Amino acid sequence: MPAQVSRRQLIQLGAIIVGGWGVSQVLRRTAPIGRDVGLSEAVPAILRGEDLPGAGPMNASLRMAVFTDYRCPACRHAFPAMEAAVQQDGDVRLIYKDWPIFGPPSERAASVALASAEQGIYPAIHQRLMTDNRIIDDPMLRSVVTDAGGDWDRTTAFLASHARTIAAQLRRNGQDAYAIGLSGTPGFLAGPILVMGAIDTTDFGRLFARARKSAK
Amino acid sequence: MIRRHLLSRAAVAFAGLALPFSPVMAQQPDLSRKAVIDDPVAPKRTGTTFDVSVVEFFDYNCPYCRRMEPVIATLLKTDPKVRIVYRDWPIFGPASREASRAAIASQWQGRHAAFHEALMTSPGKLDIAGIRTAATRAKVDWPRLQRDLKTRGAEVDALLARTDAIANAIGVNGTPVLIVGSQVAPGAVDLPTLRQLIKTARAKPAGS
Repeated sequence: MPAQVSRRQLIQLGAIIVGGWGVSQVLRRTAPIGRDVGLSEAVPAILRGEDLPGAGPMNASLRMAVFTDYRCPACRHAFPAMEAAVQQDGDVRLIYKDWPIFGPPSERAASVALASAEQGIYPAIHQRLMTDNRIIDDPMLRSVVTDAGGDWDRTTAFLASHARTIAAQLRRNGQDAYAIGLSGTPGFLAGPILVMGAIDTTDFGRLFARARKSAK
Repeated sequence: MIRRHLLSRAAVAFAGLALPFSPVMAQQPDLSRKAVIDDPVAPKRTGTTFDVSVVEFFDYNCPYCRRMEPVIATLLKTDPKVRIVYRDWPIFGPASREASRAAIASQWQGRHAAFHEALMTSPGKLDIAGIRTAATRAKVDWPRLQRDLKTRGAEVDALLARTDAIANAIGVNGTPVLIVGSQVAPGAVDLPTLRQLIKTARAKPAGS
């Protein structure tokens, strides 16, 4: 016997749902975004990003390190929002911290991206790998490098001669991630403020604002 | 009929949604500090209370890990509020793996501390016979160990897999590696260095 739901009850239920959603939105918009990890002595070095690829103005008023894996769904989900927010802001320097934690294909992709950096195409490769839906293997990577204007043979030669350096860079990224308390990807460290997980363009804007305020 | 039709449509739509994510199906390991420090299966050694954990990634056949052993023993004697968390990371081959599996399983008969020490101080490179000798020295009930390994071997192997994933993800390159709070210290360290790491970890609020 199905219980009858009166029209009034239905309206009340609707009001509760909408009201709850509204409250959650208000809380979400007003709660400070991210966590201040400025106490960690790893932060300054991470934000300097020595020997790591970057993008954006060198003298930007804000630096943000992005910890990502090319096969991590949340990283891929957050990528367009981050790009839009960074472009809108115009004064953010990105530091790319490849952190391949999804297994060998992720590691291979990150190594290839880093090995291509000396050709000046890292951001283009990063953008392609974050948005390309093909399975990651060498033919795929080759086409990504080539599409980004790179020379695949030069990439593989560089990777062969700098394998240890690149492996060390990836290990360093993992140690840095652990040091600031990142438990997975993606991680966005803007100034001293750390956000874990995917966020939207508005929240990136809020992150930049809080990071600039905290750095003062 | 219509319902079935709808269901199959829904299945197709779902497949269409899932497809773009096909290259990203891999599983992300849990790399939280809790997963690294508080693994429920990893053997631990502590006094009645502790306020700091020292996590050691090690292999029973690694010479530098063996050199760390007296340092850790002195630390435990002189600092009763330290907990040691043993993350067996056998990277020196099958005998190392067997030693780790046996050591981990010995915690279920309360012999881990003694067995760990016996394995770490056993002469020469450990092999299967050496593991057996160390077990005898540590008064491990061998038949019981074999039974525990048979019934709970999957738990042990899952722990080793978790440790391996964590070690790779946080950039551990060899053994030993110590983790104290947010600090990762690769290679063997001496007692003053270890004490300094602990001091720093204690000075900081949890999680930072």
